[in-house]
Amino acid sequence: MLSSLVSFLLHSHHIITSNEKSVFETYYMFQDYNKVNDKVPPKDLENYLELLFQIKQISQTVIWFKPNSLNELYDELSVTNTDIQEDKTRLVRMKLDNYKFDIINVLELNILDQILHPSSNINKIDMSLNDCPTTKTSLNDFDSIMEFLEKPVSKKFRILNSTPSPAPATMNEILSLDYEIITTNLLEFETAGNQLNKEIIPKITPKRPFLETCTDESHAVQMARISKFECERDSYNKMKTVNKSYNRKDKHFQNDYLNITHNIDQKMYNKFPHDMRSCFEKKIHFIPYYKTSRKTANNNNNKAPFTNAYAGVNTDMSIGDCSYLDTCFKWDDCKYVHYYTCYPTSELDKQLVECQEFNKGIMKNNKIRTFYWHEPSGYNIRNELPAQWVKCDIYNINMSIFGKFGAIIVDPAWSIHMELQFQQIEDHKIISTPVQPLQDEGIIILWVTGRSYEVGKKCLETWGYEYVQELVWTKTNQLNRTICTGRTGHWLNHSKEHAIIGMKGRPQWLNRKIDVDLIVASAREASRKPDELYGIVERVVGPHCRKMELFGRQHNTRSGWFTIGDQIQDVNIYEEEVKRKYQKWLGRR
Amino acid sequence: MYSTHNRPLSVHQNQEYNPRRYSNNNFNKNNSHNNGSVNSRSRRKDEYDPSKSYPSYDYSLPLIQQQHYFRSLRGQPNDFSNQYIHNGQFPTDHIPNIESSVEGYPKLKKLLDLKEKKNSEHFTQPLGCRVAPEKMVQVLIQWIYKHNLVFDTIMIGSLTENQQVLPILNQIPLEKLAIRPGFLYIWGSSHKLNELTNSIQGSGSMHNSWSKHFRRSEELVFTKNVESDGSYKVEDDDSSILTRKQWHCSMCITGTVKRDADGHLVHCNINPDLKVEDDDEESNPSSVPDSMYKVAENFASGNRRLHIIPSRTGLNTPVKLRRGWVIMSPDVLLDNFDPEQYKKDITRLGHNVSQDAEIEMLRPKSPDWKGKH
Repeated sequence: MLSSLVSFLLHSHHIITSNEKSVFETYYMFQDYNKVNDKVPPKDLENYLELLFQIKQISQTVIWFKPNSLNELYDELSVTNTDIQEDKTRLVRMKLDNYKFDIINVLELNILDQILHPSSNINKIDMSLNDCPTTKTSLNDFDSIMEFLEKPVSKKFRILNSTPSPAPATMNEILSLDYEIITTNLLEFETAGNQLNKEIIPKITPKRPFLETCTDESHAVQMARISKFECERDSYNKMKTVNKSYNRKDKHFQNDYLNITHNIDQKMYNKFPHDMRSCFEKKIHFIPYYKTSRKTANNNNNKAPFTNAYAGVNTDMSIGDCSYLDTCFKWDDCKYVHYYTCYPTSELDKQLVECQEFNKGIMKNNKIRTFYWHEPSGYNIRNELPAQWVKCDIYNINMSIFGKFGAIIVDPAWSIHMELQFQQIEDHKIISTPVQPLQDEGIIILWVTGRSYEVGKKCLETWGYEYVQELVWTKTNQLNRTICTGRTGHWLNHSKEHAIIGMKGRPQWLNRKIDVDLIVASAREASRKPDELYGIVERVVGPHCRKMELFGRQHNTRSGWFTIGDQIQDVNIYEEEVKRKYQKWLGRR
Repeated sequence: MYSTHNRPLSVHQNQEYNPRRYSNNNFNKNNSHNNGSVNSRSRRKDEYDPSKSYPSYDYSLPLIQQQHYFRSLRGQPNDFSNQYIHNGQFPTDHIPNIESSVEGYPKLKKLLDLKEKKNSEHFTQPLGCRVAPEKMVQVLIQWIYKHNLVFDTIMIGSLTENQQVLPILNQIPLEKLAIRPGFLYIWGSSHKLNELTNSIQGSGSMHNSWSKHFRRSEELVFTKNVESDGSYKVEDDDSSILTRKQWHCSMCITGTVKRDADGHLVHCNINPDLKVEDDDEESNPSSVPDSMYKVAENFASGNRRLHIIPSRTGLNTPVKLRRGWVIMSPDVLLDNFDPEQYKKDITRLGHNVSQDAEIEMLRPKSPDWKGKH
């Protein structure tokens, strides 16, 4: 009898302990087990209890119960004087339901098993699946084990109903309980430091207003019906006629030279349903408009949406959107559909106030620290520096005057053998950029183009960096769609750009895995990179950290960042030491 | 021609324009959007001036200056990376044209439909070749030397971790398996990117014969918004600075092909080099998403396409058969590939997808093809 209990416990110890089976439940399991294996089952519950107690007497450390030891229970039961058998059984049942198996020492059980069956196999510690009896009850066990094995180290079993319920009467009932499978993939287990960082970073990252885009196409169409546009053509015409060498890429957006004004028919607008009006007040809408040539407009008695402007050609609404939309250079002669972006400015103002409320708490939240090793220190020690920049030739200046930086962004003008408005730099020259003195430990982000992908990796190697990963910028257009036509790309259409991330040294102070390696942002002027990258880098190295951008332009200057390059105007240095060193270097020249 | 694409804007033409009826939109109550009023008037000191440039977003600035900053922004005012931090919504979640990337371009949509129809006319039946990963090199070498098989498009690997792509690349004379000009697509997660690039370049310890013949021409990126079903998930490790979400596919070309003269071989600029997939409940993911097969089919017209998956791909991304492709994998359901029969079939179907006048007219051609201008 005792030996069968030992082999039963060995057989199903993992189910008992992982599900915290009570003594009462295991009694039924034991009975079923005995039936299957043709062994004599215990007479009643008390008999079973006695067996358990026998094991405990052989060794105290084989089985652990909670909440207290079995001895106490046994004593308690023997003290109670109830003559009626029924009452006693009920009492025992009640007590036993609360007694749960906590730990089963498999090693000791195996030793016990060996003593009881000297001939049995030693390798009983790993319960072989083939030994599993194939009855319905053990099939369930088998299924759960199979499920466990199919997703290695990813699933853990737990009984769903934690509230005490009437004790299940049979083995089938016990096993028909719902099992909740908790997925905890150990391979992707996040460290506590990372988890804490992920909690803290949103608290210390300034919130920005976020305007949703309307997804209901009919809104924009309805709006187009009641809209009239005016546009300031003076600057556009001047641009076209007076100065023919005017570089249109400087003024890239139609709004920069067209200044379109949006007017709506107030009466019609008030007739719109309420939900539509509130949508206009809350979300961004893209209103399609068409242009008419002067000739067509005169014939039609000026019914065009543009009240003061005539384009070179009529817009053909059936041929689809312009490939460039708001960055179209040939607005006048483009017969494809263009859109006017209707921003809900009142909503923006409302959100700005809300964001400011949130952002006031950042200073306070900065004081909460995780005290884990991978976080940038000094959130309170230093303040973010104002924007600094120096116009210089990167290849001629002594880089060591700028000091050390935690993060560097490099956006060189890779030569792509095409005519552009800015000077391009040859590959070998970019490789020879003196980046080395700028950093002892930290990260670098290098923007590359398709052709310069391999050269970029060589650059990182030469500058002393280790390749870590890549960041992809998904370019979007005015309508926030990915670009699928009309852009560059030799074999396929290019709708993204790559940046390589490199690391120098072994910086332990980086906030890792806060952002994803994808940026979705609209394309702006030629070769202007998205500002989102600055936010991402600031979160990785901390906002107080000194950060540098090489080959920067005026629009790259930003507080906390030191921008150098030959396309910047003037010199603006805030840090005294750098200023002194820079002047010294100027004097030496 | 595209009569279906009508926008109900024509209503406008029946209305008389009455300047008094139209007012500046009232839902922008501050009237600050009127940045380009026709009558340029003198502005107050703190009023928004579109000609000025405003510094970057700084929450410590007065509210009015923040408002000015957002008004001066061009393009999208939203910062999706910031939104991800605060809301956990992936940046790619905000892209509206995930489902049909050619939304708004009827001409391009028609071209894609035509291409798909034309390609399917020349497809072979779905062919599978079940080979254990360790036997693949042996089988492929037999194909090359015994059966003289050649392929126009070869894809290696799938969107699963722990693939044995490099052994295949280094042991097979790929330049003999691919016809010239031929196209090679190699899959890798962003972990393997460095190894893969070194292999393509043939640099460092990655000396191999094939890299001298192939040159890397494009880098395709695939990403899935949320991996609720566990498919296409990139496993993260401690080395990464940003959470990894990308799958890369390097497109390599062997032989000479000119984009303007070789219209019978390649059709350029039809698909973009990025594919974002939404988390769709209904779609059942396969080892390589259909959209990526389509990119390869639309680009090169060669009919002989081989896909080698040198690893077991698991239950989340099973190997699916595809018409027009020979799929070699240890897990492929069909094992019906016969080299000699295949050669006969291809001769019957033709080596290339035949030319189509309408596709020729619609497809983008010269290098300085500027969209629809």
